[in-house]
Amino acid sequence: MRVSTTFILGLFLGGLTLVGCDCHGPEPVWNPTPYPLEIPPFFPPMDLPADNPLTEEGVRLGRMLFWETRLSENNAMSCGTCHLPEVSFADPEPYSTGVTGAIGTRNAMALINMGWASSYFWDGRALTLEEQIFEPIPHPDEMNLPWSEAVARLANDDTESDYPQRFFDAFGTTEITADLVSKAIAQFVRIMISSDSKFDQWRRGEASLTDSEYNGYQMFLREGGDPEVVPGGQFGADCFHCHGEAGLQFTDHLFHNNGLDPSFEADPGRALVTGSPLDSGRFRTPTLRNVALSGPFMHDGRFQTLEEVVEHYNSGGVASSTIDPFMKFGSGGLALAPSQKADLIAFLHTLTDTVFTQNPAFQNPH
Amino acid sequence: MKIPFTPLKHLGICALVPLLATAGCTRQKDAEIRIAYDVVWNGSPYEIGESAPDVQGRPVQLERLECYVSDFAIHDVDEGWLPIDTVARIDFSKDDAHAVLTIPGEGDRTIDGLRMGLGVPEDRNVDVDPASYTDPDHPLGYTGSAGLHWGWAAGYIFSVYEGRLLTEPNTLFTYHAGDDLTFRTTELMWEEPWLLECGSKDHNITLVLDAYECLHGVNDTIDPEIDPETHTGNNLPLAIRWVDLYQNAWSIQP
Repeated sequence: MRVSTTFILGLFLGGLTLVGCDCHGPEPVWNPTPYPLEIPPFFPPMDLPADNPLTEEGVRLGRMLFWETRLSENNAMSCGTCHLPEVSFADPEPYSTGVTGAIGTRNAMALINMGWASSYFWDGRALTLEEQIFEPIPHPDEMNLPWSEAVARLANDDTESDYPQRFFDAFGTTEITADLVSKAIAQFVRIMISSDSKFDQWRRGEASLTDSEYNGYQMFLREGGDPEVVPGGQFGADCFHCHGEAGLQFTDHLFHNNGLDPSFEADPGRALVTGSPLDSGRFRTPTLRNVALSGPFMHDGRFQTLEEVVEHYNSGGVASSTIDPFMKFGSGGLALAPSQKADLIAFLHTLTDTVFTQNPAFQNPH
Repeated sequence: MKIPFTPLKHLGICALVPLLATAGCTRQKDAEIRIAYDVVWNGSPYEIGESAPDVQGRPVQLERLECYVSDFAIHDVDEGWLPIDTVARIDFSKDDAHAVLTIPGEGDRTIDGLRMGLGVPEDRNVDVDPASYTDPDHPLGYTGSAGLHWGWAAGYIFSVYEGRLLTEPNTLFTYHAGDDLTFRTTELMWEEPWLLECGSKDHNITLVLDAYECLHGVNDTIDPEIDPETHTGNNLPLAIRWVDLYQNAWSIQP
């Protein structure tokens, strides 16, 4: 039998067409929109991870996941349960209560300008936001939901949230993984930027500080102690060493023992991560932004008010084997007069940014 | 269109090859010297956090020892000092504390000395906001300088020497130098010059800081019980005493 060349060619081309044919219609196109991150004046650049760039779709998804109660065992708790907007995305209780009723051991940190942090948790055990976010969902004292169950719930979502589609929009895949959940939430947390406090406005030349606020700022910047007792003392409040204003973040991102306890059996802090005795009782310096909103204070939430906090530093703290040399524990403390304490607290209130806490883009979308 | 092979074209290719080779060589000629940093106590091996006796026999525990080094120069026996623009942050608690010097390639050199600035050069210090660095991880950038900056208008902390005398009660000491007045330079020469080959990347130097000598020098001794603290601005005389001791506490490992 002779088959014509034309016939064979026709069969071949037809086969190619069939192979190339998408019988289910065109493949969906993944085309995420870069998120227009604006760095506020005087802020440093944000070091974004190359494998998790900010996109509109990723941020939107991250916001939904941040507030998603289905990521907890009993469908009642989300990240936002312990990170409440009105208190600068912190917890007004000293310790948070998990879905099982278990009580945590440290105060939930305020989520504010976290894109500039270099470690996370009070002891810095997570080095990236993505890494940090892995922990609370399966933690038995927090949301207590295994990651396998968490992603299954999202994958089988048949509500209007439509997570598979949202994951595709954000990451180009409908296959939901813990890694992508953490990336999306990290994107959302990175855009939670506070830059419109009265102090920010003053730095931009848009507002004036009162005399009391300005005096408090000067106290903040001066060395502590009576020069007759502490060489070089300037009767200041000595806040700036750890809560430095570089980049307007009011933290040095380091770990200090600020003289809360004489020993550290209850919580060794940073030493749990490094294993070094020098790190016993050291905790990460939190930002002072929105400090007037984000109490209670310290890693264990032991102080309810700013007045108590200032009084602690004024006293010099409690001596221990790792107390920070900035603490004036053996030299009579800071010796601040009542009016100076009031000025310092007035200054701390200038770091309050309710534009941030009330930003509609950060609230619960569900 | 097919271009016929002509002798002229052949000549052009022959000329191009060495040109390209030369261009590539120029880039490869840059040499690197890796400077490792180590700390000792009175000439003996020491690690941050250990206890070691001071001149009076009191146990001293250093808890933080960090510094900026900058304004390097190497000494070419033929051409003299060749400046190298590098700033590095050195944390002596880390095993891998180091700086890398890139020496532009102009042929082999014979080297017999190193100069190093102790601090941040004046034109990069006061009124330079770390936030202004586009790379936050630059040693002077926001993240890179964390804990070594005094504020947007006050400049960098050049060196941090913190710890305690383990006496009863403990005496804490803190020596922070950081004003332009406390910038120092140290020069380290060696007797046997060595060849720095063009393009070589395998030269290593170890600089050693004797932390004991930061308190006890030939002409001065700082007693932490008497002079426990300076942040420079609040106690400039002590900061100057400290950096003068610190300047002379460096050596190069043979």
